[in-house]
Amino acid sequence: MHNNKYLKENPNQPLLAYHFIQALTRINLAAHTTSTKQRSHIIKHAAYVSMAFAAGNKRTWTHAVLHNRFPIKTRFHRLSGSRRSFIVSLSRNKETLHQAHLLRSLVPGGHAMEFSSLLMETANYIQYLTAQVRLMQCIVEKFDMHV
Amino acid sequence: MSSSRSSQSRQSSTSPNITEDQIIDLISKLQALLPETRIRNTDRASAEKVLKETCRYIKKLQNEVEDLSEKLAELLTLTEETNSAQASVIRSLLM
Repeated sequence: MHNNKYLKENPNQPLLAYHFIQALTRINLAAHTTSTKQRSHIIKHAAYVSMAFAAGNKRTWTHAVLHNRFPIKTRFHRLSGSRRSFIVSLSRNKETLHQAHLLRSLVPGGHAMEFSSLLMETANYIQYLTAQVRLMQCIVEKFDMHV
Repeated sequence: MSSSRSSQSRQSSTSPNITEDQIIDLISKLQALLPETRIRNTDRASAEKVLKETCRYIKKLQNEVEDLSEKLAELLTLTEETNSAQASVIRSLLM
C-alpha cells in the first residue's frame, strides 16, 4: 500500500451519509420500543459501522470495527508486531512508546499493526471520525430547524 | 513523493526496513490533520508530542460521536409522533 493512498483520499461523505441515515431511519422505526439510552448506544454503533463501510475494507481499522464491534476489546496483544518495526531512536524515548501504546488502544485493530501502518491507519481513521462528527452535527442542526 | 523516496513506494508496509525518515514523514502528515499546530519541528521530541495530541484529538472526536448519538437519540424520541417531519428531514438530507 502506498502511503499516499491513505492520506490523499478524502472521506467518501455521500456514502457515509447514505449508510448512516439509512441506519437512523431503521432506528427511528423502532424508536417506540427502545429507551433513549439504548437508542443512543445503537446510534453510536451505527456511526462507527457507517464510517467503516464508507472507508472500505482495505483498512485494518474498518475490519476491526465491522468484525469485532467497537470499542475493540483486544483479545490478544501482538506485541511482537508492534516492536519489530519501531524505530530504535524513537523507542529510546519511553514516553513515545507509551503514547504509541495509547494510540494503539484508541485506533480499532491498533495493537496488531506495525508502527508505520498504525500512523497511516490513524490518519485515515481521524479523517473519517471528523467526517462522521460533521455529518451528525449537520443532522442535529436539521432537526433543530424542523422541530 | 520525491524520487529519493521511490524505493519506499515499492516496499510493502509490512517490511521491517522502514526508515526513520519515513516514520518522521508519516508523523508530520498526521500532524497536519490535527487542529492545533503548536508543534513546528518534526524531531524526536515532537514525535512524542504529535502522538500525544493525536490521542487527545481521537478521544475528543470519539466523545463527540457519543454526545451526538445521545442528542440524536433524544431527537428521535421527540419526532416519534411527527413522522412526517422526520421524513422531510431525511429527504432533505438525501437531496
